[in-house]
Amino acid sequence: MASERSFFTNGYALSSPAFTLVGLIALVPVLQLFASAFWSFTTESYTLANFTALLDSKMATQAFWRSIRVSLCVTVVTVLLGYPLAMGLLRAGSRMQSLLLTLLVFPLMVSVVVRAYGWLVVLSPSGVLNKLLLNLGIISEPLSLIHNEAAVIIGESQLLLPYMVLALVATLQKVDPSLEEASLSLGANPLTTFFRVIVPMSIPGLLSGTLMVFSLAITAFATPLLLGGGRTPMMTTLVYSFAFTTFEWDKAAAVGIVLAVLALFFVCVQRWAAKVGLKSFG
Amino acid sequence: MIGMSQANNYAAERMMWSASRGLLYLTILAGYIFLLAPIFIVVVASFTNDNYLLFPPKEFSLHWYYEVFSLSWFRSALLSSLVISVISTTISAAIGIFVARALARIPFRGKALVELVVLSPLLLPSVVLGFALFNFAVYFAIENNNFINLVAGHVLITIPFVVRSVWAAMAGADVSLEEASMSLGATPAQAFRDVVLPMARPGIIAGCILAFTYSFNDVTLSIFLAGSNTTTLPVQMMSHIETSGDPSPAAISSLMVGLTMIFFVIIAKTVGLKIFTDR
Amino acid sequence: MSSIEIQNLSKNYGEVTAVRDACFAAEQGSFVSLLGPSGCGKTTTLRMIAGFEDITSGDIKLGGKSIKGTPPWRRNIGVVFQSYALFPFMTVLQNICYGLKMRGVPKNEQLARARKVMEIVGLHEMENRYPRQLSGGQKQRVALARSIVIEPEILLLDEPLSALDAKMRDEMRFELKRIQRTSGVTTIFVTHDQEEAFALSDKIVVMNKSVVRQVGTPREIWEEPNSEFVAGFIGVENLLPCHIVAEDGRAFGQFGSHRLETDAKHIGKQGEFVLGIRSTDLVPLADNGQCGQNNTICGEVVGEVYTGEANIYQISSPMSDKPITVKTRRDHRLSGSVCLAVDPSKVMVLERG
Repeated sequence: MASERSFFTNGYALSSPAFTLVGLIALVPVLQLFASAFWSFTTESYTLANFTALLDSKMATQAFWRSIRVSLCVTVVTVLLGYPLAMGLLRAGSRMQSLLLTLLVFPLMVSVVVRAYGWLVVLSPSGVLNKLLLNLGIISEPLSLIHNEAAVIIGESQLLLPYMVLALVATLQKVDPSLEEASLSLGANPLTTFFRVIVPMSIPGLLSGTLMVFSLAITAFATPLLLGGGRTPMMTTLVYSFAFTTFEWDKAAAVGIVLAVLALFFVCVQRWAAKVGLKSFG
Repeated sequence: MIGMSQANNYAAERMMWSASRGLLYLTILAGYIFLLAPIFIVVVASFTNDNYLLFPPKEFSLHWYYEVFSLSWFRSALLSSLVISVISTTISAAIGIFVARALARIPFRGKALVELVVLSPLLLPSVVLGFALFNFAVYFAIENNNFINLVAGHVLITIPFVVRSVWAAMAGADVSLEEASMSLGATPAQAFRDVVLPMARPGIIAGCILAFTYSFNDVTLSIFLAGSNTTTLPVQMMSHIETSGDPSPAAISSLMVGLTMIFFVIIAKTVGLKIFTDR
Repeated sequence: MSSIEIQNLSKNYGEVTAVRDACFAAEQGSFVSLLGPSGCGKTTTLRMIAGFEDITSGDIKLGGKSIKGTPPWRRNIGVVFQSYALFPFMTVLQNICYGLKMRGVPKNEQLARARKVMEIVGLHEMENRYPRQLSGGQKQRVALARSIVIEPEILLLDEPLSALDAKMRDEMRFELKRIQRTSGVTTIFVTHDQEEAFALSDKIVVMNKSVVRQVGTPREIWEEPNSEFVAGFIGVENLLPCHIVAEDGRAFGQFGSHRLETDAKHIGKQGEFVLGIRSTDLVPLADNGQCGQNNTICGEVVGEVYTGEANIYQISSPMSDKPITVKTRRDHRLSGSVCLAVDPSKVMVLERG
């Protein structure tokens, strides 16, 4: 654009308000958190003590492995349910497709608290499921279905399933439908075709979906708090209880940093995979 | 004879595949039930008349809705949630539209850094951001200014929604429209007002709605910033769920689902559902 | 309205050169086409004239004054875009009045001027329609009206006919010429379609690979293309690399032991050139006995296509690696060995490349 500079054509001027604001009130506090995680109030020096204290704490190491375990299970559940839903979405006629898409993405906008509460209503000892089973005479005592890892896995899977489906659909809808027809015409039955043609073609989507679901699962907060209860702390809820129950802020900072590093690692891997995936899959 | 038995074989095979197709449909149905049932059950159960939740309720009444609106904590938390979401969405929109314009249209050095910083609140776990902000506020001894802290935090988590949505809308608009307006004598400011903003309008609307919804529903960040002076509805609702077993959260949930539904329809009508599918 | 001069205009994007040293001019009220294949730099040239791209070096003079550094909104140049770029949220009338509004023209005058140009471009009772309610041809007319209502110094058209279907394109070609004559605005027209350029222009600027290859009237370009590229681009089928030799005051193209005579005016030329011969300028001789004499090409028919109005043959010949194309009337059929004669004045001598 020929000369006469204007605010509206200057990238720096346009970016500066948002850049400054986010930098100042998000990145500076995060850097400060980083510093305080390595700071010891007792010795008044930089140290790894906060992190070694976490390693020594049984609760913290348990929370760490629980977070990993739960997130892995959530990823597996969403993959297993994700493929059928993605295939259904891709195969449906256009009206059915928009209905299915609506029903898939609407829950994404509903509050996490509402969705976790929904599972409490369904799964709690006086909940819908227990009442149903009692009335049917299948059980005589209410089952304890909440405040355990399974409840968290169920809740987070419901939370994150749409992301997995969308990632799979995004990749699969670019696949030429005649590939599938070609496979069928060459003598492969539908199941063989699915595993030999569809699944390999969906790898980029599966990869990005898996990374996204895992990183969102490991950073989920409200669901583990409500469905996991006090006896199943995970990394995110541990930050909260260190901060507001035991007031061990240096430990909260250390757990937070571990969490942030994990989450950013997955973001980087995801971006890298997206780049590499784009190249190798044309 | 051979032909007959072969035909029979095909019929058997065909039946097997149509049975497996039925199984696929059942799985899909189960998947959607899994996604929607908890939301649906809460909404239906909220119309109960009793002091406990039952699905389906014995009789439908608005009892708990009257009850909820008579609770002072609900009214004040709802009000502050609305105010905080409106203010933070407005601020995010005001600064987000400009940075979206820069990202979508203007080549400059350091663009990748601007993108990274502006979208960083989405990349960082909310728990970490929430505790970092709390820690920061404590450092300056302003942790009791709950309202200001909440607005600041909500601006951070809403900016990425506005930026991504407006960015997509601006990048998708025909560049020659802007050039046409300039060739007709419009200065960059006039072209921005007359052409760029109207062209990005669906993206702006959708971005603001997503931002508002996300802000209004947020609990992870807010729980670190809320306090005795100001708190938000989801935070209050969460502590109520943890301490009491009455059905009032169901009524609040239904109200939130209703509000979400209205916003969802507006988004579907303005920019369509592709805003969820494109990334 | 003004004349425009393009002087040694260049545009680089980093290492890449989009336009190199372009020079041409458009007289006041004339219609000039920038013709070339896609990526040749014609659109970049147009965008520099409009002010959408900075100039790397050289100058653009509008009515004798340099407009280098003048931002687009102060140039008073009308632009019609390939996509028309009509504002979708404004009615036809609002689109046309937009430029006048930016100039602070009073409302009633805006209306009067808009109605006048709408009449010129042939838009009737469309004022309150939105662009999406218009056909391609109508959008085209609105885009034209919007850019001429501001009475621009110069009108720039960027492939404005390419988005139309074939029938509409022929109609709009006549309309464009009429509207340009009526309004008398100096016009620069970018196109890759040689037929369009010949039909509309007073002058054609042929570009290829960032460089202006030839500037001339349609007749000059058609009859005397200066290079292999220009000849090929305007559809000269037979391009035969050769060596030019002079003998007895005559000029010949030498192909090994064969030679073809060309016009004597090429006598000063020495070295490697390309001979260009249109397929219609090759005349098959009835008697093959004349073969081997000057200005005949002999060979075998190796391919035949019937197009309805003509027969097109491919002839293999020792003069060229590629077969030679010859076009005959549809009732004139060839087979086997043939001998083709060509008038020396119809043999063009072209720079290579």
